[in-house]
Amino acid sequence: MRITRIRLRDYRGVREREVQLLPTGVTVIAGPNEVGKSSLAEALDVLFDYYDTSTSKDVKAVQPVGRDVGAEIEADIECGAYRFTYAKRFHRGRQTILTLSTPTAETLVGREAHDRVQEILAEAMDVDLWKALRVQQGRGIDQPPLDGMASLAGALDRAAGEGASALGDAGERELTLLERAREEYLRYWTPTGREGAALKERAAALTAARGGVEHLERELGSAEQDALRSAELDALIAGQRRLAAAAGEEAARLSAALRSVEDLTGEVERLRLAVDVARGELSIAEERRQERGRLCTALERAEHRVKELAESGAGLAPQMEAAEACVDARSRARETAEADRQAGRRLVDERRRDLETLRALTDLGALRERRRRAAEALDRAAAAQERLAAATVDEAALERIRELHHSVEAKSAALAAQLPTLEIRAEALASLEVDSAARDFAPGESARWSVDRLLTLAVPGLIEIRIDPGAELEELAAEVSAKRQELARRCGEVGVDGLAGAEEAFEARRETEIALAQAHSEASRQLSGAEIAELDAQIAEASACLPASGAALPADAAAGQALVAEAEALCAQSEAALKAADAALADAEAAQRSAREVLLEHDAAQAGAEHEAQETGDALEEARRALPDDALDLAVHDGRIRVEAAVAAHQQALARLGAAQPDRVRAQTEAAAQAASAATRALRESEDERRDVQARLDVRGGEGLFESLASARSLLEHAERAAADLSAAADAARLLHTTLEACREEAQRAYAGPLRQKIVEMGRVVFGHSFDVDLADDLSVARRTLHGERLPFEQLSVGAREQLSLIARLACALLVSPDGGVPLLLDDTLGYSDDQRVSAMHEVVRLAGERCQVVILTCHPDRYRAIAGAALIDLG
Amino acid sequence: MRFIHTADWQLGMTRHFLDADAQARFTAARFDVIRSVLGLAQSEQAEFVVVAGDVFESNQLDRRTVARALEALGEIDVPVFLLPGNHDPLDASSVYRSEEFARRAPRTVAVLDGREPVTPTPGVELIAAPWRSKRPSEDLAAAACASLELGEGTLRVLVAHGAVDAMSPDRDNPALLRLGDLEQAIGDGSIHYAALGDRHSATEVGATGRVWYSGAPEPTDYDELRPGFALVVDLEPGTCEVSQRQVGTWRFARERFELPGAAGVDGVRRWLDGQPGKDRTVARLLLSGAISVRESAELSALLEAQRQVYAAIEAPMDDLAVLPGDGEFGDLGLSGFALASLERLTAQARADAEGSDAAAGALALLYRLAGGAA
Repeated sequence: MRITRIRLRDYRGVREREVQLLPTGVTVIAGPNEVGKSSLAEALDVLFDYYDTSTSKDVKAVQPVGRDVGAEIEADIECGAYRFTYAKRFHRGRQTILTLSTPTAETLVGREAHDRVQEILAEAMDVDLWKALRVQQGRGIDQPPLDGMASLAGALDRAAGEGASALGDAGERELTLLERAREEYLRYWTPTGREGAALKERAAALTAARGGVEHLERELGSAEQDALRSAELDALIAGQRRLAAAAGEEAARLSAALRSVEDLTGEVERLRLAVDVARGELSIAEERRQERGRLCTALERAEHRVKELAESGAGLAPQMEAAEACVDARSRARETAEADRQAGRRLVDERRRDLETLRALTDLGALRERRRRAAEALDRAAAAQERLAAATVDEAALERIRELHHSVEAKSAALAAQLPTLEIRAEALASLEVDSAARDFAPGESARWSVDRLLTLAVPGLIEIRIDPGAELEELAAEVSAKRQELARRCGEVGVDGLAGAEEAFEARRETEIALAQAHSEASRQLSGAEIAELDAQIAEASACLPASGAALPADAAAGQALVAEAEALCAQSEAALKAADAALADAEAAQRSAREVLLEHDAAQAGAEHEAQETGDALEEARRALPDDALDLAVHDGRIRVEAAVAAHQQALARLGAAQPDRVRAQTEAAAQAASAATRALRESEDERRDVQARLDVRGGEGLFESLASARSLLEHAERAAADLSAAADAARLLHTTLEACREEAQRAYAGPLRQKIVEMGRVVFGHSFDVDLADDLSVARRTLHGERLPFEQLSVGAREQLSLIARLACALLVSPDGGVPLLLDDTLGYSDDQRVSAMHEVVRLAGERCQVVILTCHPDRYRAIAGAALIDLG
Repeated sequence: MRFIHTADWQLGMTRHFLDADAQARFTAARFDVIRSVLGLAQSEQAEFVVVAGDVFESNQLDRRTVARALEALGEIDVPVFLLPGNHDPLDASSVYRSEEFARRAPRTVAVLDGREPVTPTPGVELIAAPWRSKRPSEDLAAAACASLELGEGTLRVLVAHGAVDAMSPDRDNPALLRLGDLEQAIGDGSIHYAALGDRHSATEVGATGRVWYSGAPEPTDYDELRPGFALVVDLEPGTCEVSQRQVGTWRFARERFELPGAAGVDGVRRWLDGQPGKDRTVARLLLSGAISVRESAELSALLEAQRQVYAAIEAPMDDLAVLPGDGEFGDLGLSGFALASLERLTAQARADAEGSDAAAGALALLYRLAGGAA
């Protein structure tokens, strides 16, 4: 695409602006800030991208401020085979006009015009590339995003040459295919190329199925082996039965032979025993003969002993008699001493009893005295009690009388003090009636009255004088009178005439109480807690206990005690005498016992010796009766002859046994028995095995091993088939994926080459001959090499990045330019570059301008003035 | 005197190419055919049925298989004589000696253990040559006939199992049945008919007209020529007539296809469509040649669809090359590296070297991912 003219009217702050651009070559549009340079670039986007009716903020933003007019944009454009003028007015009087001149003249308006332009652009230009190659103000250091740009790819494709053409010409469809192939690949494989879950599962299933088959094959093989073994065992058992029978017969035959040998052995043993018996009998006979000799000797010895004892026992009897006489004498002496001692004890007892009787009589007297005193005290107490009952003035009564008395006294005194006193003194004889009682006064006589009531004095016929003490005094006088009466009544009640009498009566009562207490105390002391009756009982009991005799008692206790002591001394003497008599008797008895023992011992020895002699004699006689001495000699002789015969017979039998070879017969018999046993055992083992085999077969018989195996094999085959299918699918997916990836990489390598070559070619103009670059997969510059130093793009200086980015854009534009290409619109680029680099970049830009349309927007026209052949449009 | 001659029921047989559902139907058919054979005996008023060996596929069967067989045998009241064969020999593990068999065998069923001649009906003797192990060391039929004398007014039927020497390539096998001896015994009147089992196709052996294999009542493999029959034997002292009666319902069909051939995949389709009784048919397609990726996809779809109705379809693809057809990928409009990949894979697939299968698979996948339809 080429843009040959742009005209703006009423666009942002621009009233009218039109610029002509070189279709091929460099156009530098210069002007100060805000003159509308960037608006030119922006206006192209608004023109191409928005309907005139758009209300987008991008569109709204370009309406002039403060003027009610619509922004207009118009451009002349060459695009592939098309040449047209495209104009739009927004905001006010909206319109779109497309005037096509080539290939056919045609005018379209409105939405139709817009859509048609879109079609033309899509058909003849790579819009994405165009936008990618633009450098917007301030964004110059970014590399253009080139990966996937169709026209770049096409251009690179061509640049890579015919051979690479088929590889490189790939679009969205192929990339989608690659993605699908990758998805398919990942169904079977991990991203790192190892087997995925499905393959592993299938392999595991296959292993399990194989294991199942192998197991069942073993089982079935084992069952078949068992069936074969069972048949073998049938044959084996038949043979073993025959063998066992034959071995049994041989064992029985040898067993009979062994029995006769054993009989012979028994005979030898029996004869050996007969020799022993004969020797034993001879030995007994000889023993008996020796015994006979011993018996004769013993008899002689016994008889000699009897004789000796008879001689030695003659003197023992008189000794015994003397000892017995001594015992008798001493026994009598002891009896006398015993009688004395008993008499002494009786005397002591009598005297002690007399003393006790004396003490009892004394105690009885004391008891009787206590009883008498107690009785008297009780009588006194009874009399006092009686008096006390009659004495009526107790403490309370006395106190009451005393209170009344004092009250009368006090009130009388008070009355006396308050009563008026009337005193009359007659100066002459006068007669007066006092309370109607006539009274005569002698001259000078006076009378006084306490007026305690209405007192009437009258001189009859002449005068009557009434003197009234008043109601109050009268009342008081009445009260005194009442108290007096009460006192008199009280005293009367207790039989006294006044307070003095009451006090006397009270004193008498108190004395009676004391006497009563003393009487009680005395009675209590005498009785000591007992009753009179108890004392009486004690007296009666003590009286009853007294001996009735009237024997003379000691004068008193001391005399009694002396008599007792005397008797006790006598008694002690008799006791000592008795002890001495006992000792003497004991000595005599010991002597007697000793003599008796000697006698008895001698008698026993003699009796023993006699008995022995008797027994020995009897035995000898008995033995001789049973077997006389000559017969005994004969028996010894015969015994010797029998021993010799038995020994000879035993020797003969031994010789016969040796000839029969018993060890050999025994060994043969044992061997035959072992053989028979082994045969039987082998047979039994075989039968056991057959039973086991049959048991296994019976158990397995119904398990359906065959069907299980068939089923397992079928399963295995299915698993194998499925595994093979899966494996084939996995292999196919992997092969497809790896092939697609490989081809894509190769293609990329093929068309990345020309781009890199172009960048290097142009870069060397700026950076010199040591300059080189590496491109990444997305065709961006990954590293720059300069003077042998390779640095990642990101680590380059801002200026170098800006220059490299611009070079990359120019290289792309150059590559796509034969295909119509896209305009390279650079808005204020190289702002970070120093003058030296800028002038070097001029050459690069100029080179690009040889085949491309390059439009540079700048506020520094001097920077680009040196580009040869560039058209300069100064908007200032 | 009429009886039914059958053999090789091989109950309990499984076929690895059948899926579980088809195997169940296959198994059921093998029990059903017992009823068909017994029904035939009944309808033909046969005196008895002899089964000349291999009643069971193995001695190591699930007891349920034995139980179901005996159940079917007991359903129709016809005497049945079972001969132990090489699959079910009368050894220590024999089904016939199992507790299950003893408990469930109906009274009409007897095992020919060969110890004594059996008289199924007056005037008839069954001379049995049962297998007692899997590897007999002699001609069992000859041994069974060795001590026979001329049957005075008795019809003798030899029941034996195994290959006859005249039809076996393995002449060193000591257990082969010697046809000469059989014909000799028939010739001298020791026996009057030899009921043989082992061969799964109904086959007359020799020239006497009295030596027969009944074949299996249901087919078991593709190689069998005439499976699915039972024989109705009319035996009289002077005559012997044998007629073959169809009892089986299954088929094993095999067909060779050289692709692309005239009709290509359509030929395969037509053949599969045309087979009768598909649900009881096991088909094997012998495919060879080369087909395009699209055709391969078509073929896969076809087989997938037909496998829904067939008992089984075996179609090994080992001899079938799958290669991009003319314009096949061109229609997909691939370009760039995708097109390069296509070309590379195509070259690999055609190289007939290791990896060509994977390349063919990758092409098919590419075809599918790029939107190509079958």
